[in-house]
Amino acid sequence: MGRYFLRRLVISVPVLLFVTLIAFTLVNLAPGDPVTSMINPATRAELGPDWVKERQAALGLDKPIVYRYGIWIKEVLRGNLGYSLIGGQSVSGQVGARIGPTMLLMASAIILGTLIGIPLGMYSALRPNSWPDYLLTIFGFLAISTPIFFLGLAMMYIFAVHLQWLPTSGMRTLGKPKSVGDLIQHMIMPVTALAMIHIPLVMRYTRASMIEALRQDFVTTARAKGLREQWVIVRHAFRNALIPLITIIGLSLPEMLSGAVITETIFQWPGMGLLALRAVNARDYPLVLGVILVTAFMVLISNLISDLCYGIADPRIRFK
Amino acid sequence: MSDQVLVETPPQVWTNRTFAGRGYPRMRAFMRHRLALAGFIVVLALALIAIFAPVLAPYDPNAVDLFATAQGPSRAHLLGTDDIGRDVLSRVIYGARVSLSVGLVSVTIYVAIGMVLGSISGYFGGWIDSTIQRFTDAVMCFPSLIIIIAAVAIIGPSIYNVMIVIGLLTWPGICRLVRGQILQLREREFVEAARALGASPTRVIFAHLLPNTIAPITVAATFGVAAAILTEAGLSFLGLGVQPPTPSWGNMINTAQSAAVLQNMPWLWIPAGVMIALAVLSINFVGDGLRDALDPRSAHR
Repeated sequence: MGRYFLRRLVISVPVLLFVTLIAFTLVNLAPGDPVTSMINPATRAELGPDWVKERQAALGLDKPIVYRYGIWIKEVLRGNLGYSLIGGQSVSGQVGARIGPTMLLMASAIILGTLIGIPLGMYSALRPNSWPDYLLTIFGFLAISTPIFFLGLAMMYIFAVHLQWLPTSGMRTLGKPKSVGDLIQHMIMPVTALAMIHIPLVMRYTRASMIEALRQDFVTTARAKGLREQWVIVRHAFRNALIPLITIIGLSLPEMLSGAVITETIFQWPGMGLLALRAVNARDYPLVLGVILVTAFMVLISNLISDLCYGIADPRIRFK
Repeated sequence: MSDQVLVETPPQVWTNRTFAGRGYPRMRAFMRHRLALAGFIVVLALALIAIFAPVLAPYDPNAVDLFATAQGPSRAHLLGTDDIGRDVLSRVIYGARVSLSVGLVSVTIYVAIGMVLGSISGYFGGWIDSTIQRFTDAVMCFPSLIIIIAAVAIIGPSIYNVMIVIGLLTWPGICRLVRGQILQLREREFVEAARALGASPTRVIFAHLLPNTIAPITVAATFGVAAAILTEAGLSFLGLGVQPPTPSWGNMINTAQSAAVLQNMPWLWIPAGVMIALAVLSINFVGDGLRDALDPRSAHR
């Protein structure tokens, strides 16, 4: 087990290196540099080109890009993601404040999606090629084909604007004392919209994995022993079918984070997606870089964790 | 549907036959292909709409009519007009051009990148393979929409930049697919024969290996077109894709972010949303049908 995990960990070092390299290169493609973009052109003309060069030297901008990458990595490793161009707050502080709401949204959507997706996938797998299976397949296709912003707006139109059952946006009602009930009301629509990304994925995997499990020899053996069908399904097939599903969360996380950008924008949910969009619109590059890096890191970590869980649940994996 | 299908519906009894998954493969295959066919017809219709947009659109999509602003659907404007009097139906028709061209061009770009990197990776193996694979892993770590909005913001939002950015950032799937295929193929006799005849690696890859990976790539590329259309719509919805006044389904829905439009002018955003869902759904059905047709293993699941 230790060796298996160590191998996974060693592999992710170059991945992390490439992640930082890609993010750094991307943001350095941005036009202009901090000195020229922060100083009013008129003032800059007065101060003269020598002053600009001096400032650039002071910020290390005259050094070659490889050298700057080195400095930047050193700071990132110390937890310093730089400072926002607008307002000058620390990037790590701003991102840190937004992680909580995004995690709450995504964790709820993943839990809800899994709780709905597994039974639906099971149902399909037990009656393959029947009408319900067929309808569920179509539902899955519809769910992956409907843009999440259209679904979100349609829900808002129906449940918030017309029926007025749910609040349109935000995380809390202003002027009301903080309460869990209020929070849940605000969560229903964004979580449902986001869960629609997760449900079809879980459903499809459960179905395939369950059909595969039911074909295995140990299921035949269990039936041959004369076990009751329900027992065979629940204790033998289902347990084994669940194992590959562990990787699903790791797999769907990048897509969920992408979905979070749109969901948070529609419902004005104060998370990282909204922060990313604001940073991008304000051309606040250090903040953009911070968000890119933190989300990529989250994906990398969750992949590692799901690999680890997979290794624990299925010993065969460790020796592949 | 037809009576024959209803007759074939399996009995709702838990028998070993149904559990084994061998139940009624024909019905599923039949329905699947029916969906693929329906999808193909819709895609074809959308392509024709996109090509003949100038003929089909009742108005110029950018013509402003200040005497007919924010009108609901009527006989003169079947889907109504927007807040500066542009005909929504015409804009929806022209929007098909944006969606389909972004889908096709960006997928062409990333299939090319994925094929080249994947075949180099699979053919040469060793450190070249592991470097390319770690790089692929790294690209996959970035949530696509987050890195795409960042890239588009940096190089500037426009339809061409959207195509390029989607193309440059979504190749890892194809890369892995091609690599896996090449790893299997390169041990086969015909490859050995080609090598023995003195074929260069480039020739072996392009003339002997890649042609054998066309089937799975076609399936992946079809699903890819659907995904790229969704991405473009998402970007345009966020205001970082196709820029107004050029109509795109995504930027038409963008207007619904204002409460007044959302509440009082549903004709502005519902048709565009339905068109995106319809286009993406149809392309996914075609992809599913192709997968069944081209991959014998998945056909009778």
